[in-house]
Amino acid sequence: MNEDLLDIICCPLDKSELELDVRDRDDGEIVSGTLTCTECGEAYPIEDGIPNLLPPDMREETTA
Amino acid sequence: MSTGDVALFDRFARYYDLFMPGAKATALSRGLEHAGRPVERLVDVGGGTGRAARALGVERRFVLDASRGMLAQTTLPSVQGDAGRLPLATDAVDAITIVDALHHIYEWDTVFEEAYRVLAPGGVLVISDFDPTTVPGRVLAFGERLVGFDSAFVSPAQLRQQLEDVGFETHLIEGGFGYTVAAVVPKREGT
Repeated sequence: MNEDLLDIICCPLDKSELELDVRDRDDGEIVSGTLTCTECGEAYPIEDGIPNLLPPDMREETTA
Repeated sequence: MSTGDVALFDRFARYYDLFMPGAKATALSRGLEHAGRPVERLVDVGGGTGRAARALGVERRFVLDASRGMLAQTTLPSVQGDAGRLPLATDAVDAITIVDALHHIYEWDTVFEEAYRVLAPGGVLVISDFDPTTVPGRVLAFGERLVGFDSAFVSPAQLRQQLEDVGFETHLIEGGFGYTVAAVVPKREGT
């Protein structure tokens, strides 16, 4: 994930801003980490460079 | 929940670019031209492997899809998300495309309201899908049911009506079996 995307992504539930916590970075790209909603506190994982911003109720059935 | 058929796409992702006809880049580009603002940032919703977004000459483009398997195949920046509850800020993008994907998505009114919110004033939503009132459209709708998709198709006229009910100004870009509609967010006073 490019940090550029941070300007436009938000929490899918309340549309509030997200706080980025980077675990792993490669050549400027964020490979893994967590995005946490500054309003409701919901945490969204970044895995293999892709942020998973599905609402929590959709997460399980779509995780292959 | 607005996105159906996700598990099936996770299974088919690897073969998707081989199976599907090439994206109608020309019709999509003509749709984008209806925007009342420069198109610099574009999101391809339900964009899967990103084949439509790749065909468009927009500088900052990314793919949003509920299927992890589809996104894993794309070289474009991507976000896993739901079309009905977009994880995108208000007025965040200049254009949204939904190419051959709307018929896999549930609760269109919610999806269109979300698109309207996320598009900046003058921004454009371009939708390409298949008309079930044409003969090949009927065959396609039947075929998708055979392989297990829970697909929903409407005619361009019905689609435009639904978009206009949400507040968009619509234009038919191309009719026929595979049709393209552009829906523009009217500019607000003083913008």
